[in-house]
Amino acid sequence: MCVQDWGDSITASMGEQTRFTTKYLVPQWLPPLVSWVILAAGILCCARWIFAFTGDAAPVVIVMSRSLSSVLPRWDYDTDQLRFVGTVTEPLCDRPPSPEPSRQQPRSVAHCEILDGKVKVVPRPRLKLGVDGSEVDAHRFRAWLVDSERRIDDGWPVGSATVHGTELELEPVPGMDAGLMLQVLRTTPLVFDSNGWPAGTGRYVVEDVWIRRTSVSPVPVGVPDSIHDYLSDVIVLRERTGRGVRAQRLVLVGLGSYEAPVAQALSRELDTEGLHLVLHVEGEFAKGIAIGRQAVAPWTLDQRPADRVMLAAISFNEPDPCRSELLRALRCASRNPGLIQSVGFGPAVQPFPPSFPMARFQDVATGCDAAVGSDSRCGVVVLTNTTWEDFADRLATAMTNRVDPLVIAVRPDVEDVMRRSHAYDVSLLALMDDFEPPAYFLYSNLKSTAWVDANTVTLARNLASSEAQGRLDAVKWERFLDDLDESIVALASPVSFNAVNHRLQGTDPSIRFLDPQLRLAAVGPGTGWIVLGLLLTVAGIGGVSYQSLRRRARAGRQRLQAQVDYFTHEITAPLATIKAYAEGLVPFQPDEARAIEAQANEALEHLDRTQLLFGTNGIVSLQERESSNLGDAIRPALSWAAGRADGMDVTWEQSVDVPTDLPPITVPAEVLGYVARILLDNALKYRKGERAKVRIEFERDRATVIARFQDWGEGISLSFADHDLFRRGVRSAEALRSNLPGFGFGLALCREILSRFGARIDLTSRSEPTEFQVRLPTVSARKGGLR
Amino acid sequence: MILFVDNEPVRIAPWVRAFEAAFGEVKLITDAQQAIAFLESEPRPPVDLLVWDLMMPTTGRLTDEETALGTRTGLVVHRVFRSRYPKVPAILLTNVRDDALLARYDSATDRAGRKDRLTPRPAIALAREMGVGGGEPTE
Repeated sequence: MCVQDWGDSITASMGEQTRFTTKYLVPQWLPPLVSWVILAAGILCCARWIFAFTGDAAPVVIVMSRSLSSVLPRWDYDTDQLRFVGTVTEPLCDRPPSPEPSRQQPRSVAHCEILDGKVKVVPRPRLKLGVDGSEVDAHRFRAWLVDSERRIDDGWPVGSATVHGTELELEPVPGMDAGLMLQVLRTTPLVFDSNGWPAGTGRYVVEDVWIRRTSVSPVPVGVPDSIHDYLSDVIVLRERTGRGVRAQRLVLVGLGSYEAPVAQALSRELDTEGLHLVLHVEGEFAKGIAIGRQAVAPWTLDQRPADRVMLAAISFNEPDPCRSELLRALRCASRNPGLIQSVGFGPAVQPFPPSFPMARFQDVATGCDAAVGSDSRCGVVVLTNTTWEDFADRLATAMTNRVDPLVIAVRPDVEDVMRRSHAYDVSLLALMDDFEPPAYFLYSNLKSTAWVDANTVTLARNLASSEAQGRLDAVKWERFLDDLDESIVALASPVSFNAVNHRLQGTDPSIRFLDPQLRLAAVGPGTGWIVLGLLLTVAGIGGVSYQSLRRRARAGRQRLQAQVDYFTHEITAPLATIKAYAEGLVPFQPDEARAIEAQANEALEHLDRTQLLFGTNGIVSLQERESSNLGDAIRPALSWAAGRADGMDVTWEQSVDVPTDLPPITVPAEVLGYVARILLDNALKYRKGERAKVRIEFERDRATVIARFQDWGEGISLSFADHDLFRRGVRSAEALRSNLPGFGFGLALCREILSRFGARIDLTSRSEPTEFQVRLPTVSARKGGLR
Repeated sequence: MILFVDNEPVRIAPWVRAFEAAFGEVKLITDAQQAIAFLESEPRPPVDLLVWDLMMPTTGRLTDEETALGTRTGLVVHRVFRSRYPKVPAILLTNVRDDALLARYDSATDRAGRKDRLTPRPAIALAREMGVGGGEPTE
């Protein structure tokens, strides 16, 4: 008989050759470990969900901008959760193509073109022109235009408007060029909100929502600058829905001269963090907000590629010594061709809102000795791109040696400037807008400068109109620049500048600023985590409880066994002592002593024939053991095995030797029969070929009978540890691969059951033959003597 | 010196008297904790044979876990004894009917038997066989 099973790293063998290995189906340490791991995972999931609300709040950055599509790339904010319905604040008409193909064209509401002296407006797909949320008809649109016209200081250029389906046809007022009108439509929002800020062209459709909720991306929320009421509603709504916003910090960022005060006011109202940026921020910069958790603030210009022009401007209000210092530094810098290509001087300007004090301009780090004193607050450095380089250069040339102190420094590489930015110690770096054509830029500045004469403004407007139509006469433009009295040029209009926050500390003490270490996180962890967490927690608690119950059950069995041992001990001990005393009396009173000893032996013999039983009701009882006849015990098992072999078409050879003089054993016949059946079944399973040969021998060994179960099957490898053979739930890999029936409990049960009757099973030979030896106590074993 | 460790002095008395008559000095300790303290004391007591019981009350630093609720307290005593007297013979005398356990103690230095079978006279014979008294002590 061969037994193949159930040990850790067990191998079975045929002869000396190792054939296969076995492993535990379930290692004993695994269930409790898995239970604890599941429980820990569940608790972590729940904790993650809970701490998302109660932990250190991550900010939600709400970016307010006029041209959201360029600030917040769409692919970052597409979502299926339509939480925000914004208001379009973009200009009505699309802008001319960017001179830098790599740059993303700002999205506008409609495509516009000049046709027969009129501007034809074709809205983008899914958009409809509307006023106050309603679609417009020609009458209402005209009324809207008139209403808007009153709000624009230099007059609205639209003479009449006609609606054709979803398209709009605009005719300029007499004297107004269609090109200029188009230019205005390209840059000027058409609607004003209740605060008087330009708010866009109407309600925005819900298809475009600028929020994305994800665990790895920040949550910049793009909302237009007129979203004040909307935002309040949305925030209340989100608080109500318990998505975690309540615990989040709201950071409002106004990207533009219009949006910045709105953001500031809203920040104060909502008692949250606020940061306002002057003027626009472009798409590349916006990635600083959107990319990853770390890239939030401060933002730098490094992300903006291409060449830039650096403009240095000095306020009218700057004290003369300060201007002189700055100019001296810039002139010094200009002599270093590796740093600044050209330097020009022009009228003093203030291109920034009054709320921004001038930045300090300490040192241009040119290697020159000259440096502005640390206490001076003299200049602002402005960067712009190549679109403006030529214009800036011309402007600088035109202004050179005329009026101090406008300084235009043309820089080929903004990154180089940024590398040296620490030396500049500027508080504001601004970018001029790519998409603002130079003539229109100049016009928009001139028209808002009070002391510019009307002829100059008209001339600039005409040039801008020509420029919008792509017909800008270079000669006229140069002549205009040459004739321009730069002393009256005030770049006070911020419309055409994009600005990037850079070390804004100190610009407005009423505003708290973004912590540079701030990291953005998702609005909330979502319900998936809490559901998963609860499921895992319940599963983990179940597993741990099950393990605990198993331990308690095991401890209970141990206690029960201890009680059995105590009872047995207490019953036997007095008799053993009496027997010992009697033995001491033999030399003195031999007859009486032997009589006492015989009586004690009789009592002990009776006890050995009994077994202590604990009923399920806790009642202890003594039950006399029945002695078993060995032949009767194993006969049914042999018959069963022979029948089974016959059914399997296996040749069954058995040889049984039961001496007639063997004493009865204390193990019940049913138990021995069960053991024999398992061993014979294994012999059948792990036979060699189609033949199974077994031999069963019995032999008396003092107080025991030894039963030897032998078979000539595949054998058991030496790598099997004896104790592993008798462990539960272990099967050989070979048995598993061969789909042999069984669960790996046979031998373990044999040993366990036999041990309850004082018997024991051991492996005594691994192959040729494989032999299991069962030591069976006999009924007469109690009669004293040494073991 | 023959050391007996058994918590029931009356019941072990026949063996104690017999061993005293056969080998001379006998010391009986009736508490497992005291026995451990005795075995661990310095200098090491001169013990020629340990006769120990299996089931004894758990006292002192002994725990229910290591003594199986007091049913195997003697195992701890024996372990301490073996750590200090690796070659000195020891005989387990018990009324516990656990043949598998008793079978473990069948070596040159260890034997085991039930008290109803290993009465004083066979026990003394076994001790002599293990080198105590008349035989050559193993250590």
